[in-house]
Parts: sequence; C-alpha cells; structure tokens
Amino acid sequence: MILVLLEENCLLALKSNLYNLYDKFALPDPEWITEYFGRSPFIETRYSVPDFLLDMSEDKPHLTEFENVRRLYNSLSFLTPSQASDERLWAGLCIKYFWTYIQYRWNIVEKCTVGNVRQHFFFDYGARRSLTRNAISRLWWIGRLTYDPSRKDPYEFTRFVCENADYIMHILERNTSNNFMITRAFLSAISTAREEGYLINTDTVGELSKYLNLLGGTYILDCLSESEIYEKILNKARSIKAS
Amino acid sequence: MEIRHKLYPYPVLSYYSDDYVVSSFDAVIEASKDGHNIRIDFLADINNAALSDLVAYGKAKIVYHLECAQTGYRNAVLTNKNEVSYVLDHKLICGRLQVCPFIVATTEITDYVNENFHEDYRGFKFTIEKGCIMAIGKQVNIDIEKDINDLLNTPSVFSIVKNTDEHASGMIVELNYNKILIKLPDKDFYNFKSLKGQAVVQSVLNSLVVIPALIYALEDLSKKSLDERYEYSSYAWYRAIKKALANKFNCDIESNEFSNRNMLEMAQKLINAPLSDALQVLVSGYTSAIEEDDE
Repeated sequence: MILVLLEENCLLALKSNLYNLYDKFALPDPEWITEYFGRSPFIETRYSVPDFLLDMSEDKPHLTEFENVRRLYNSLSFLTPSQASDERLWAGLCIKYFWTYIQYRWNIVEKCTVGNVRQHFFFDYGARRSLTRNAISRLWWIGRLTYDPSRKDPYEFTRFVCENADYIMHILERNTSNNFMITRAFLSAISTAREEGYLINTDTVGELSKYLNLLGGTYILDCLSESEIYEKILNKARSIKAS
Repeated sequence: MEIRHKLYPYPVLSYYSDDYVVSSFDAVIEASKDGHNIRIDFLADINNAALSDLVAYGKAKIVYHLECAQTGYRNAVLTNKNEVSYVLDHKLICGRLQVCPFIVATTEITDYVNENFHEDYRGFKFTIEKGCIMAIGKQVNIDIEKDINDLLNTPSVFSIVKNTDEHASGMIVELNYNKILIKLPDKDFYNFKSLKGQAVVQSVLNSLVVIPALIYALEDLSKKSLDERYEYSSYAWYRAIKKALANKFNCDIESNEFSNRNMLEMAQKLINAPLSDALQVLVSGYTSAIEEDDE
C-alpha cells in the first residue's frame, strides 16, 4: 500500500462542493471521484507499507475501535506528528483505501449528511479536534496519544480509551493529552482506581477529566511530576465514590 | 495554551493585573531556522527583586510553555537563566506554536510576601504550591513556515475549482481554507482548465481570475478588525500574503495602516502586474501561439 495524499485542489473542490456531492459518499466505491476530476485525485508519497485491512466484523462498529487502532498504528507509527496532522493524507487514505470501512464505522450509508461526510472523510473542526474525528486519523492519533512502550502491554491505555467513544472525547480531545506524561498519569490513576474496585464509567471519567482541566487552570501541569498528577487524580477518583 | 486574564487566590505578577506595583515580567521570544528545525531564543526580564531571588535560589523557575494544537505537541522549557535557547524538532510541529512565559513555583513556598504587592495584599502571607503560577508574561504565537513540505510541496496560495452548484453564474471566492478558494461555474472552469497549461496565457488568467480574487481577499481583510484579521492567521494564504506585503510594501497586515492602502494597486503588484502582458498577449501573442500550435 502506497500512502497517498488527496491533491489539495481536489480536496478543496470536494469540501467546498459537499452540499452537492455528499450523497455520493454513500456509493459502494469512490470511482466517481476519479470521473469527477477526469483524472486520479491522488498523489503518491514516498511511503509504502505492507497492505493491511481494518476489522469490520462486529455488528456494533465501535467495538472494532481498539483492534483497528492497533492495526493502523502498528503499520503507520513511523509518521511524524507533523505529517499526521496533514488533512490531505487522511482524506487520501479515507477515500482510496478505507472507503468501505468509513461507511461501516460511521454508518455513512444511512446517515449520509454533509456533516458526517465532512467530519469523517475530511477535517471539519479546529486543528486538534479534527484529528480524532476523521475516521482514519482518529485511529492513528488514539494510538499516538495512548501507546506506552514502557508498559507490559503497550496498548493497555489504548484498550481502555476505546471501551467508550466518550472516553476518547473526555481524555484525548483535551489539550492536556498533548503531554503524554499527563495522559499517562491520568490513565494510570484511573486504572488503579478501577483495580481498587471504584466504579469507572463515562460519568466518572467525565468528572475526572473536568477535574484535570481544573488542575490545569491552577497549576502548570507540565511542571508537576507524573506521580504528583497521578496522586491528585487517584484521590479525586476515590472521593467521587465516597461522595 | 492560551493565556486568559484569570484571577488567582494569591497575587500574580502579570501585565493585565495590578496585584503588584512597580514590577514587571516579560520575555522576548524569537524564532529562527536551525537547519529544518526551529530554534527559539528566550530572553526574560524580571523586574521584581523577590521573584528574581526565588528563581536564583531554585524555588521558582522561568517556564516557557510550548503548545502546537495542530500536532498535539506540548512541552515546558524550565530554566533559571534569563537567556536560554531551545531547538524544536520540525517533525513535531506544524502551523502555529503558542509560547507562554511564566514564573512557576517549583517547590512549595510558605509565608510568601513581596514588598511590591498591591496595598490590598499588604500584611498577608501566602502559601504557593509547587506548580502554581507566580508571574505571567505575554503570549507569543509563532507561525511555523516550513521550507520543506513533510509529504509533498504545494506552493500556490490559490486553488481554482469547479463549482458544482449548477445555478452558479459567476466566480465565488472563499477564504476559510488554507488556500484562497476560487470557484468557477462548470463551463468557466473547463475553459480555464484548458488554458492554464499554456504558459503564454498565464498573465491573462491572472488578470481575469487571480487579481479579482486577491482584491476580494484584501478588501475583506481590510474591513475586519485587527482581532478578526488575526483569526485568519492559521491559513497558509494569509501568512503568505502577510509576508509578501511586509517584504514588498513594508506593510503590516495586522495594522490599521493596512486598511488605508490601495488594494487594487497592491493586488496587481503582488501578482507582478500582469495586465500589461495580458493585453499584449491578446493583441498579438496568443493568436500567433495558437496558430503555431495548429501547424
């Protein structure tokens, strides 16, 4: 598989005309895009990786999230963050290689709206949030922000955040996740709290995320040690149960 | 990180509050190229003896908080020196880098007093926890312009595409993308496309399509407030035009002076005044070029 970019002019042409084109994203394949431009809209990069497929075996597509993060990040972990923030790359991969997966994962055929097409095939939010909303860049960035080679299972945190889409929103769409030391402290504390028998669900994770945000307004978190952040989050997790 | 004008439960030295008197903290932050990487030079200026002493004695540090939203980069440079340099790997950043200078307690400081506290705080002692902000400087945003594109090169600031709205009858210009987007109706787009490969007619196409679009963009900017204008700075076209205006006209696009400029004149000069060449081509060159092609 040669990694491709969607040529910028083509990307802009598609995005700026989505109101007239969005329903074509429910078609079985993207051949219409080549016909639309009268040529291939893709540019090959210098990167080639062994072919891989994404898992589409579950009735509930979100259950494939962890496995697909693992597959995609294993294959593309060499990308730099700068390269992996390029909309042309992810739009190109979405359209050329993962068309069917995106339709499956985000139910594009039944929910074929301008908004859904825009956010899952392209970038539709601010720079940071778009990374976890585009269907394919999302898989890479979940891996990037949670993969921890220092752990026995490097994908332990990945597995946890993929349990629920809300976890990804609460944990990875906040600026604190940009510093892996902070993310690791946060997720380690949640992991410990769960091992201690405290209830961890979307409500508690949401509350802990708000608390971390609050701490970020009080302290420069990057100046605290990982263990200090861990202790604060763990104490808060214990107090949520107690209250 | 965006510096917000927040209030704290203890005095913080900042440019937007009067918690301290006859004191200041700020930093000169300058970026330059270091190969492909970005070198940032920091020069801090602490005008408060007690805070300077805390830094000198290791109880607090000068902290430069670096964050690039586009690539999820976040790091803090901690130092006790007024002057320091830091080289940032270009692979980690793209677009805008936010740099926020602080003085941060690096250990718990008990019974903190400062002779330059505002009189409202006189007589009070504070406990400052480790990691808490003691002084805030002005945020600096650095827009990273890369000489190399990570995956490929794409130089132009204009993108000309087909408008699929069949009711569209004229050119539309949209500015909320990385490039200035020029949308042409179906027939016009294909005519444009058939001509754009011919070098001889570039000046004609620039006069007909690019110059009006650029005037539109400049006029649009000139009508916006400085803050609204700044919001465009995440777009590559805006940064490219900003740089070109500074180099060619010594004009700061984020100044009030920009709005008083003649946009028609600037647009023509930015595109190397193609009108004269265009008319010349129409009068003579283009006809002969076609005839030559036909032979």
